Amino acid sequence: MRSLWLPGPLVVPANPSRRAVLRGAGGVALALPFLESLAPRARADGGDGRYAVFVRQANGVTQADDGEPDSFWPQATGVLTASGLAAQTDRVLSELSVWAPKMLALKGIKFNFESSGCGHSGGGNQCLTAAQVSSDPSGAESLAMGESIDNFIARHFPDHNGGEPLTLYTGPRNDYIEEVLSYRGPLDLRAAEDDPWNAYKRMVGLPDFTPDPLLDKRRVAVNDVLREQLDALRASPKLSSSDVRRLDTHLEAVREFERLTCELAQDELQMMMLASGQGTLNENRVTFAKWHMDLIALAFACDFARAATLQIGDGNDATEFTINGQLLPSFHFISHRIYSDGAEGEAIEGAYEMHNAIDRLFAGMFDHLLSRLDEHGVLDRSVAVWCNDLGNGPSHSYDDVPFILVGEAGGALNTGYFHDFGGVTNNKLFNSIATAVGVTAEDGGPVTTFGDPSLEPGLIDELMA
Amino acid sequence: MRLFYALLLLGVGCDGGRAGKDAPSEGRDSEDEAAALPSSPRVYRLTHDQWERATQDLLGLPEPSGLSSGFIGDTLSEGFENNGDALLVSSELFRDYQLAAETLAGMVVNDVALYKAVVPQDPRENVIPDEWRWEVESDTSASYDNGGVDGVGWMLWSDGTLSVPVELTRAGTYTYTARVFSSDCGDGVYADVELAVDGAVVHSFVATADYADTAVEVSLSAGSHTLGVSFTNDCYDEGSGRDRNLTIDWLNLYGPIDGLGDTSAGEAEARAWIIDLVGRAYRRPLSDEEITAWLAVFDQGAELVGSGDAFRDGVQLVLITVLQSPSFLYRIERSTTPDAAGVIPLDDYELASKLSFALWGTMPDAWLFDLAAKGELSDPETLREVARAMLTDARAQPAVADFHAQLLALDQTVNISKDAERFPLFSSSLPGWMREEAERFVDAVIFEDEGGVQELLSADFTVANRTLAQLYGVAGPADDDTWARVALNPAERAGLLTQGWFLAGNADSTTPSPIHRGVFVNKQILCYAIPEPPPNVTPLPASEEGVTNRDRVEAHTGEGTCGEVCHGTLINPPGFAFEGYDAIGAFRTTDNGAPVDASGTFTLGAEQVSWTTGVQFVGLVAAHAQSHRCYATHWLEYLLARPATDADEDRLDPVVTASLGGASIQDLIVELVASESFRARADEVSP
Repeated sequence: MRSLWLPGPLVVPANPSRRAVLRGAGGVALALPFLESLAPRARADGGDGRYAVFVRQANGVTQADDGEPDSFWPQATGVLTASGLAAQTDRVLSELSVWAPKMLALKGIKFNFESSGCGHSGGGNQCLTAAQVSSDPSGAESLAMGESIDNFIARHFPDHNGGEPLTLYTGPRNDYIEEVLSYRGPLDLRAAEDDPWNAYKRMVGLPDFTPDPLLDKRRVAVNDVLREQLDALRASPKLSSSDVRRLDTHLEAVREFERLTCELAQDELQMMMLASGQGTLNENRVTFAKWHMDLIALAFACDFARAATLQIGDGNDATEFTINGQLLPSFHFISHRIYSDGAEGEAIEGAYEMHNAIDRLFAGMFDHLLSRLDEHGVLDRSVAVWCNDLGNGPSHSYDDVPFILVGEAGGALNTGYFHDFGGVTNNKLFNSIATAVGVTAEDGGPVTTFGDPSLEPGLIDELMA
Repeated sequence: MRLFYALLLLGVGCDGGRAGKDAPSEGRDSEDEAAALPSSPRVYRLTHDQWERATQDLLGLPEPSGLSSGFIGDTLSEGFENNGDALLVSSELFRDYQLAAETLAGMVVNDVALYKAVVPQDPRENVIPDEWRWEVESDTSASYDNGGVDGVGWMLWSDGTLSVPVELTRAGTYTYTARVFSSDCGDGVYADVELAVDGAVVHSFVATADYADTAVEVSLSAGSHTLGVSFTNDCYDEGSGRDRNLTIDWLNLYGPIDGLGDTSAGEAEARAWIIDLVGRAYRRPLSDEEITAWLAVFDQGAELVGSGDAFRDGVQLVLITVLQSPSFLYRIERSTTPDAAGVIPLDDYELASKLSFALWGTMPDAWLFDLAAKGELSDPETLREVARAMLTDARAQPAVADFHAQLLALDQTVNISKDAERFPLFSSSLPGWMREEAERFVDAVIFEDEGGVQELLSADFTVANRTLAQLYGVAGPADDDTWARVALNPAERAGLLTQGWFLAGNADSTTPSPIHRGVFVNKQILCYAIPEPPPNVTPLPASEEGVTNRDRVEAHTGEGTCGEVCHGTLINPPGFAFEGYDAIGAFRTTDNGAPVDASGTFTLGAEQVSWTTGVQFVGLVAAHAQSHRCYATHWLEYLLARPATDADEDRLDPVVTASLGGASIQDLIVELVASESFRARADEVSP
């Protein structure tokens, strides 16, 4: 089967009316939501940009753990072929068999540092940073002590989205471990956008979606005034260290951003708009993830941004997925194999099989992203990563955290293999990915020192072409 | 605000953060001897709610614009959501602010009534044309023949006319615009279209395959008119099934456009407008230098907006800029000069803003600006009076509700889910009702009764609907849409902690969680720190017939186990105190066939307290200085938009003393506002 993509029912407000969406609470007309041109168009001019996207699943995967069998990885390390992988139907990665020649299935990657009390939070902290976990704050509110790889890659390409990654999310907002992936630096977590419509509006960057020939010139002038005012404020005496940090971030943010000039299909945009604000619902999790992926693919195809993350589900993803018509318990419960977020609870019958089905659902979603990148002609210049912030459910391990890469990053990666590195720290993987997408160290050589300075530097040579 | 629920705390080193004080110091003047004020930010970005209300107030919008609902959110942080240390302007938020500023400025200059309210200094009569935009598919005032709504617009599928009534208040020249497109019937010929007013054709044209706008100027009298769009050359090719149709997206009438571009408004008016509008946006008077700088922005409007109306363009450019200005987006404490005591007193305007954002969630109104202008707010007595008056205003209720929603984590009530077979009273509505009960109860205690902390924690009533009253086993309203005060059974319930949001919210679908309940009481009600659990905790054993929930948890975490330090003395006792309430919050006397044991002993402050029932435990907590200190500390954090520190401890003493003596929560808030912590900032050097 090519894909397990299950669109699921889309939940939108009762009686959605275009007028209601068009108007603010006071009935004030706010925006004409559609661009003038109807046809979706993406740049397909064969540019040479390279791109990295990271899609995070939570709660580990169904690999061997605590007496449970492996149902995730290919049966043997070595070369991956489409037919060979497709035949291994008992393995999750068979869902992605068509991508086998472009794939790097990486077992034996580990997070090096212990959590400070909460395995999910500590895993999220390290997933893309290879940094230590903060002890203050600790536990479920712990933060990473370093920058994440998406931010690192993006800021080396300042002409694309202002040197910022796209930071996207679909999940609940319950004030408990929400976005976890992307960091500007130590303790500086990037807020993630949970609404594709908002993300799209921000990328298009037109008030009321109305083109205005003076807009860019006006923004330059306004930004000059804002920078002057911020500079004056920044120079005022007796600021606290937090004031200084925040004003510096604000000053960095005042830029003339390129605007996304290519468009999604109108029917998809209209659905995004109607469903705006509904992304916290379980029922919309997969649909919103798909829309976010479409935006990422479009942004890459139009060379708008160079790096992106998409976190599906909150810190310890409690989404109740519907698979083959069956509404499952909370994914977090399933990963514990009991009806509980904690350590006590009634056993969930068939929990392992449910977890496996969810792994396959994520494989299907990842397949959707790969297909979109491929359709836009940018997959071969990209590396798309399906990652996790735990190795497996029951033991919440930081060993064997699965990293599935697809795409050669313009020929820089040697794809088509299943490797088991037996315990390499994830910083080396990120050194390899950053180097593959064209980031260089200050000396012009490959990136070798991303992540916590205590970790052994270097690339994973087997990954590099 | 974040709450942290430990799952199992089997660690060591738990002193519960009790090194801190629990009772007020005696016999000294707290302000004279207090520790130095803690470091605090000078710039506090507005929360998205504050932005929404401040833009509404600044521009006099009849309702919030709702634009902040599309802003990137803020990541979770310590303390309350207004914690100044955590609120920053990222590149995403910068772009959100930019778009919102451009949108709001566009709204103002394109709406006659709004423009005249925001720019009363503009003396011109016809500065903006009146405007209508009518959307075909959602307006019921249109009539048509041979047509229908197709989801894209209004489609005329055969020769026919769409008619729209309009009512004009002024005579003049108007621009009548139609946006249409057409299909063909295989012959490459598109729809012939006629635009008409009151049945008279004013313009004819041929539609195209893509949307296109066609405009015509018409002279109209004041009063009723009918706009018409007609399709006159229908065609259907039976062989191919192709059909020539006309689709109308919208019609627009714009005007009167006579006299546009009058530039008689000049610099004096611009200056007066800037002093007022930008001054209110900055929430303080502007310096001469600032006025000059803003006039320069205003003057660039003609070039950078380019509508041909220089004054209005200046207004638009200033609005776009000021709504992104740091002096609007941040509440800035500009004062830097220390007083004799070595702290920096906030000036009157800084106090007005701090008060207004803390108690009303928005910028100061004219009354507060006036008090600031008169220099009256820096007097603590006046500040008390003003704060008291603000609390009697309806604008204070949302802020008080927001404080408690964050403190009690009421957003998390949506996660409450119970085994419906075991708990027939559970429905998908119940979690929302439990939240509403807490909100209504807090409002009743603080605003209706002017009650204190003790009443909040141990009141003999709640505010319930039928189902909640049933859950509590007391008489209540006749239906679930009706809410009323209901008297509680004093042997079973008292105050906030015997309500559903807490009891059901800290329980799984079938079983109460003494651990979650105990952690919540320690952290949120008593401000005792609980360390995070160690990794890889051992699971609790499964339930066994005849073994109570308490016995099961105690055997695993209590005395003699490796979790003894945290659980045995700190978490379990207050958690077990609520064992008399099941997973949905109903009162119970037996558990798993054995009698419930809710008794316990706990170190509250410096003393050991003991109880046998949950109500007794709640009473002990409500009467103890620690809960009053903790509640006051939370309010201090909310009012000051920063986490509390050890340096705040002594300064809270008078407030705690008064609260213990029966002062109301309104009094408590007023005293915190009048305190030096609110009125001044620490004198510190930039890093």
